[in-house]
Amino acid sequence: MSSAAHPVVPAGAPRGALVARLISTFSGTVGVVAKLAFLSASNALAIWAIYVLLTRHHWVAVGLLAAATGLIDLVYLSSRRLALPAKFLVPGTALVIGLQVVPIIYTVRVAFTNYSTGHIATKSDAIKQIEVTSLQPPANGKTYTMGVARDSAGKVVLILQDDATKKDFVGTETSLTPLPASDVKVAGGQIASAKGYTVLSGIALFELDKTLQTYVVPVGKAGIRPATTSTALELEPTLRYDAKRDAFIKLSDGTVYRDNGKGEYAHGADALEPGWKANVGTKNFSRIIHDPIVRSPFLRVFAWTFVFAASVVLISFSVGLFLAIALDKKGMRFRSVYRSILIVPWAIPGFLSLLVWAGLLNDQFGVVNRIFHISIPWLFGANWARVSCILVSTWLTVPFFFLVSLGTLQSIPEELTEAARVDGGGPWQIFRRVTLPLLLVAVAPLMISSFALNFNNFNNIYLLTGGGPFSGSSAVAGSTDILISYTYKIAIATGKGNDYGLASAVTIIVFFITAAISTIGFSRTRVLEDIA
Amino acid sequence: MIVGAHDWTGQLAANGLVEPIYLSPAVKKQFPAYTLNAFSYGLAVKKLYGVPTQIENIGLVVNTSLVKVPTTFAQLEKEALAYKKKVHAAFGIAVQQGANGDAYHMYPFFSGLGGYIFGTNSAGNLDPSNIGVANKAFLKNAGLIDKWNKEGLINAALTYDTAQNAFLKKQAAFYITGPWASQVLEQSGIKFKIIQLPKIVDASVPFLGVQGAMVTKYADPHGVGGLAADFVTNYLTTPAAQLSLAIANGRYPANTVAGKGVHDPVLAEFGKAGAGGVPMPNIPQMNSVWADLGAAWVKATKGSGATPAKTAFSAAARSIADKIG
Repeated sequence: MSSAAHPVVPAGAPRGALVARLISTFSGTVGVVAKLAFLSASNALAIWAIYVLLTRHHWVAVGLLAAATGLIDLVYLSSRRLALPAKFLVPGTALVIGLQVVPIIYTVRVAFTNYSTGHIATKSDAIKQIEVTSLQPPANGKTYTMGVARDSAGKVVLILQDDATKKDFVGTETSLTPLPASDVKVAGGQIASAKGYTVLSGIALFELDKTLQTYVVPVGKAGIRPATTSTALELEPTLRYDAKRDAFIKLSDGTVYRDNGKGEYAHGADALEPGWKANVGTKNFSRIIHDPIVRSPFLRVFAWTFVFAASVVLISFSVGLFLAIALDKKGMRFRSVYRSILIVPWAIPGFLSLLVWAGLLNDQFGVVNRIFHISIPWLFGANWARVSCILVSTWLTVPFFFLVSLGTLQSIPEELTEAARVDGGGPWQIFRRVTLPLLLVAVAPLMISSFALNFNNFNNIYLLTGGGPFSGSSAVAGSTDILISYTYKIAIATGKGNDYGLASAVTIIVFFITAAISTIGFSRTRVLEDIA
Repeated sequence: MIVGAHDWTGQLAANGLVEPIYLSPAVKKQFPAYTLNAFSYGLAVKKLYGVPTQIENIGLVVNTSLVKVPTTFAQLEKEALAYKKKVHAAFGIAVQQGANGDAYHMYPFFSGLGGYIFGTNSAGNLDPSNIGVANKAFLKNAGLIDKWNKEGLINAALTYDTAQNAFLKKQAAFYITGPWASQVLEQSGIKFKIIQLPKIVDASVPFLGVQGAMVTKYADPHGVGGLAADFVTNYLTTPAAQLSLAIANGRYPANTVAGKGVHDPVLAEFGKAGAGGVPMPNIPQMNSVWADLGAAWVKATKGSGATPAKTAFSAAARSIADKIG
């Protein structure tokens, strides 16, 4: 029986009574309590989030979160009739804003920066790291076994033993004074005790970590710094940071590394690492237009993406519709068995089935070539790889259109087809003039969303062919790369790797293309509705 | 602190995420120079950013009950092709590539023919502008790749699963893999020996992978900078720690003193097969190399319709240079 798939006519009597009972229960005290419980939970979460954001000084986020929470409370606690539609819309809107709008805003922000390898820190972090990595042991620099101690006044000092000469010293932030060898006892490679000082260990030592990070005992031009909790060594800086000029100066020859506006300190082409994330305006977008590596395959990849998405949708729809019509005969035996089998491709996780297909289509060892005794280079030849992508994606999409067509076919009133047959129409004419237009009204929007999905179907392409056999014409884009996998390759596998700024810029362009195609498609389905 | 492969060093250091580490000369002597080099990075001056804990490399696994262990490459070729004919296989040596290639597993062949990835500049650092993928010496020997393709010694269609399967089902007598497969090999009951791929024109050295521990820049803000540095520099370098870590992971320890305590014969053979190996370049520009180098091998060894090796590798060198920019 297929009444379960019928969307229009409500179910029978027993279910109606249950629904009525549920409605009456939740309209009373139980409903009010449930509403207050949910609101309390969401307010508690919001207050906790606001507290965390306040401690990190994210004022804008605090303001937005407080306003949103206040609005939600207002909508659900208000008894005005005007608030009624809002009560249904708020959860969906909140999720759309949180999971769609916020990532879009963030992507747009990143597209205007140079966020990539070497440019992920903030400027102050970058300055600190450059200073740390510019420290070098001087020629014949000494290393020390170190013990952290407090002198009689409670000040933190370092008890040091030179690893080479075994001479002992006590170092403060102002001076290095030798100590007689008898005063210092070393045990197990660590300073155990020193006369006149209390050597620290355990928690007392670990608590001083932040002090030790900046502790320097001056020795001539260099300084002795703690390296771990029990060793120290002489290090001298090779770069000096000039805060007034906002530049690093190399101490050996006076080279000046200036902030070059591209998120790094550089002297000509010579840059200091790390750099930082900086705003670069429209540089990423102009790279798409001007850089030959990015630009030259763009049109070819775009054309193939369009062909791939359109083919998959049209072929899947045709095959799904054909199967739905074939299995719609009343009284056909084992109908539910056939339907269950046909849904399997959709039920198996795509990740698994794509990897299995990649194995089945291997042209030397794959099952497909062996069973049929053919030797088609399914994944190794450029054009055959494209055919494989379309075929496998169709296999994955047919069950969806099969189910949708099945449901829609059953909602077409039989009187219409009866009337057409009485008027003398043949089966094909009935199908074309009556069934198909009514079907398309319901299915066309689904076809458009399936097109948009396959336009950006990273999984189906990447897991099956990895972007496809390399074509001679492009360094980055393979034969079966679609725009999204091509963006991924540009971002990860060129230059120094992980160029998120460029990837975000290409993503925005792909978004506009997809949005344009979808808008055109949706406006044409409205024309279909008029026809129907 | 984080534990990872040495080729993360360049990217991590370029992003300013790891702190420099200072080892005493006595400790440095216990580690092979290339392992410390693998964790060193710096545009102007190289600094050490990590402590090596384990090393791994691929080797040639020979099924000793089917063929004799070859001492020269000519002998390997003859035995592989003879066995291929006997069992009607489609390949002589089981080495994985797949449609997108695998430059890591093909590296012994690459280095044996005189190829290298990045040259070194006068300061001893890797120079991303000196790409050796299509250097003159390699192109002169590239004709051998076409010969191997024609006689079916190597087949690009093999993947990780099919290559391993072929060796286990005795369809191939030679298999190129790493210590991650040692358990499978030991449990298969096959009598095997692991050697370095015999010298082709130059020594066919594999890529060396070194794993180690690094101190991140987040240790200081959390007040454990000294502790993290202590753990990595003073404890993880001791032979005892190195040995127990390596045994737990089924790999060879980086510390040579700890290495003397390794008794697993398979691991020892893999270790010997890595002699003279080249650490994978750890500079961020290496990201741009893997795909093209792998693709060049696939194009040149895919059987009928293969591109001549000289053309494939020259194109790869050009495209890598374009990508690095």
